[in-house]
Amino acid sequence: MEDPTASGSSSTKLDPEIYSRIHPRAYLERFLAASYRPSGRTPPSFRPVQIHTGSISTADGSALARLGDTTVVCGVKAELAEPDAGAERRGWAVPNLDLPAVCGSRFKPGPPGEEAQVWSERLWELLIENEVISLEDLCIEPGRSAWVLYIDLVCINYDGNAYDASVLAMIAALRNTTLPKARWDEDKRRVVCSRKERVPLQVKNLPIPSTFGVFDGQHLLADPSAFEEPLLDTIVTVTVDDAGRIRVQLAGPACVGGVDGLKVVGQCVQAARARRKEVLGVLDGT
Amino acid sequence: MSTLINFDRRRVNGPEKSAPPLYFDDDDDDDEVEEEDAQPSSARPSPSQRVGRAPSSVRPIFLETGLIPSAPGSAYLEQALTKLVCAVYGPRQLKSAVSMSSERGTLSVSLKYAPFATPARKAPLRDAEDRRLSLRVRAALAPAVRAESFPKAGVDVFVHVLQGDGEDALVCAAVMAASAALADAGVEMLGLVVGCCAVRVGLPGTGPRWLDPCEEEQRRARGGVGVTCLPALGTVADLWQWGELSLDEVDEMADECRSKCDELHHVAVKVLLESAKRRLGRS
Amino acid sequence: MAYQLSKAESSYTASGLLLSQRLDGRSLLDYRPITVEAGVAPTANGSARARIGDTEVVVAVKLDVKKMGEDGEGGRCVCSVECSPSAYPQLDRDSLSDLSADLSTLLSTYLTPIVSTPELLIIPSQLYWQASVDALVLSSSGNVHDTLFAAVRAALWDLRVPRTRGVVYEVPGGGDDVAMGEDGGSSVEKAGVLDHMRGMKRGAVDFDLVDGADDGTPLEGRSDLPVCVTLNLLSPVFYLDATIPEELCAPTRLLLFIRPSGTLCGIHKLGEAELPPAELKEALQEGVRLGKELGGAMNARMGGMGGKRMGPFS
Repeated sequence: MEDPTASGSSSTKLDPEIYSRIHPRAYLERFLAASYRPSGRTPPSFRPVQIHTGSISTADGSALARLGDTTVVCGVKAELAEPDAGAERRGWAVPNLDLPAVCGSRFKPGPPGEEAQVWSERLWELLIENEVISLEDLCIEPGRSAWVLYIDLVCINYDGNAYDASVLAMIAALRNTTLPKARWDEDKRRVVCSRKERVPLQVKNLPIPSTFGVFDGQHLLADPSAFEEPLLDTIVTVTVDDAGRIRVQLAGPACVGGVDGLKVVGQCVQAARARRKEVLGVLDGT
Repeated sequence: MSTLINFDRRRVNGPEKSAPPLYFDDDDDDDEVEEEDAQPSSARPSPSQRVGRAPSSVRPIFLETGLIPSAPGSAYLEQALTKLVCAVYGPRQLKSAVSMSSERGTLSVSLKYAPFATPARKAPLRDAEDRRLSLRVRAALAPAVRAESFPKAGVDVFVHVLQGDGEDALVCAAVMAASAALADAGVEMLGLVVGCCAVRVGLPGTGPRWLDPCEEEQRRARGGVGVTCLPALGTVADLWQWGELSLDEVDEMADECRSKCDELHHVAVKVLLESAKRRLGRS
Repeated sequence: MAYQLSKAESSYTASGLLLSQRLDGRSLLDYRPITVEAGVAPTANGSARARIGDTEVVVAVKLDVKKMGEDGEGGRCVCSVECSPSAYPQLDRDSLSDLSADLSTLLSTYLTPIVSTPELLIIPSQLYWQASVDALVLSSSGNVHDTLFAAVRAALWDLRVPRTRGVVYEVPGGGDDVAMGEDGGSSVEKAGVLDHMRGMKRGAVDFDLVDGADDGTPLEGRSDLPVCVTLNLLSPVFYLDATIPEELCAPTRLLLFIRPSGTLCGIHKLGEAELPPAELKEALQEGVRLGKELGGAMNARMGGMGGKRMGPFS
């Protein structure tokens, strides 16, 4: 690829910001050649995590998670519903991620786009398969009434890797959630809730995802930013939970193939384990 | 109360029907909740004493610009329980060919509630209320924005409400955040727009007026007025009123709101000055 | 929106207005002829047609029994305004539906508190009449808002609320649903009763329609229903009942909802210009005066055509 800023005969000097827009690939390549990324991070380094909980008082539980500049707010609201016929003893968890038009110029107002749909689905899988909360705990009276936890996530600033940030916001919000003490009143044939007493929701497992991007088949970039994301061949998400169980999810136009591919995944798993400890520290500090 | 009429395959779906919990005071009858809704507000003696605040107090505002680096202009505003983010994109190319011939640019405003922003969950379906509030915010901004400075292009203002407390107060907060974000984006304006609202409680002629009402106060009120203005020019951008008020009351309330707007204007100006200084210091 | 005025035509119309000269010879505060006819739709509980100049709107109000809390807080009144494509030939489908949606929102914002009267309660805190207000803009030659609200006012004037009587059941404490229904001992359909009884212990639980010579009671406060006055502000003058070119000349338009007794029920500003406060104040004052006048005139006229209502539909 021609490099317009290469020293020598080029008469005009190109502003780095314009260069990064016109030749994003070459721009990133030049940084990586020096083992750095445009943000000043090294390839294996993650961005700092910040978590604040309980700032939204209209929600039953809430949290704000920041991963560098990526910011996701999660609010949990509990409603009541009759359990489904096949699952009388189970409540619902309904996670939905919204990437509204505020959070970045490439997002448009309207129904959820593809990314939001995929991530919402993955958040649901994570909740259920890693048993973050137990749906049986949400049952108030079998076959009559159960809690529905609407877990709504809003990204208010998108700078890449919204999935990791969403999981953190969701887990922190669930840990912040309290439900009113409820019992089934047979006379009134409905659930009555106490105004005074609230019970904290039991969060049973803390699966922490770490996302990596493979650039140009050789560079492994931890926690990719919005600038790096569109340039990546493959995105690898490794989730490690309390029991040490590992889930690896791959996405992207190209596959990590062969022996190298396994090596890459191995590297990711190792880094994800280390990252999990760091993140848990932040999570427990809230 | 959220009823999913259609199963939406683009979202994770919950049960077909769910309802917010009904509370009861632990030792009391639980019919109370329902009856509150049915009684007209005049039936209950509304205490003319405002709880916790002076009648003409406006809740303190925290405003910061530039929090969304990917947007040309952005602002975050927090006022007591109210929290909202605002981003401004553009001027950018318009999708529709209709406005291409226009000498003036297009200003579009879209206000959206997060599902958890209100006491009753808002199912994320298309909501008429959002459009109404969007238009209200737009009505306040349109007189200030010099649309002739970006012909054939569009400026989009997006407001996302994380928590709201009182509709009129929310509109005023959104207007203030949006005009700060527009300034942050470098969109040419005649001046900053700020807004203030007031309600009147109790019987005609006697009740007190409260500035910047919260949700509960707005519900109890007999009527209310909202004013958005450009204090730098001394003009009014938008005025709205609801409920039942006499002309004198409207006049009084509008005047009080306008003088409060002058104070709010100082707040917004200070925030913008500081962010401009930061920006100059950086480059 | 899509309708545009050439610069020459706009400046011609505007300079005329500034000299108090209008193209049709009216003075600035004159209306075009107003015709209001009530009871135009025999199947509705209240209906009317209003015409100002060549702008015409038909409104029908229908009452439905609703349970409290079913539709949340705003369920007292459901408004929908439809703009006929023939009234706005210059608008495409999207702009037309936007216009309809905006008029509907405007109508519902200002009408809901007015329609939320105790007269429309059937059983307090349980059942009420929900008013569905449907309006159709048939033709438009400016001043749609005033015409729309004149038609709505006349339809509400024409509205007859069916007479009802509460039915009380003796409820044994702690009995279950079936026992309650049997104890009621009334001819009322039981399944329906059960539904209303959930979580409720005292008072009337259902209602009967009362047969009478007439078809219901008119709204008590109907002579104080608000009118809408649109003030078109072209500094330093303002004018009423603007035609389409005149509307396009006004940088600011103020909709005022005024009861004939002088109370303001709503202010709504249209247009993208800012206003000096003094001008705004003067406009409000004048608007309230004009609104009282218009309301009074409408009351006088409507009172005179009390017998004009068509037969009820049963």
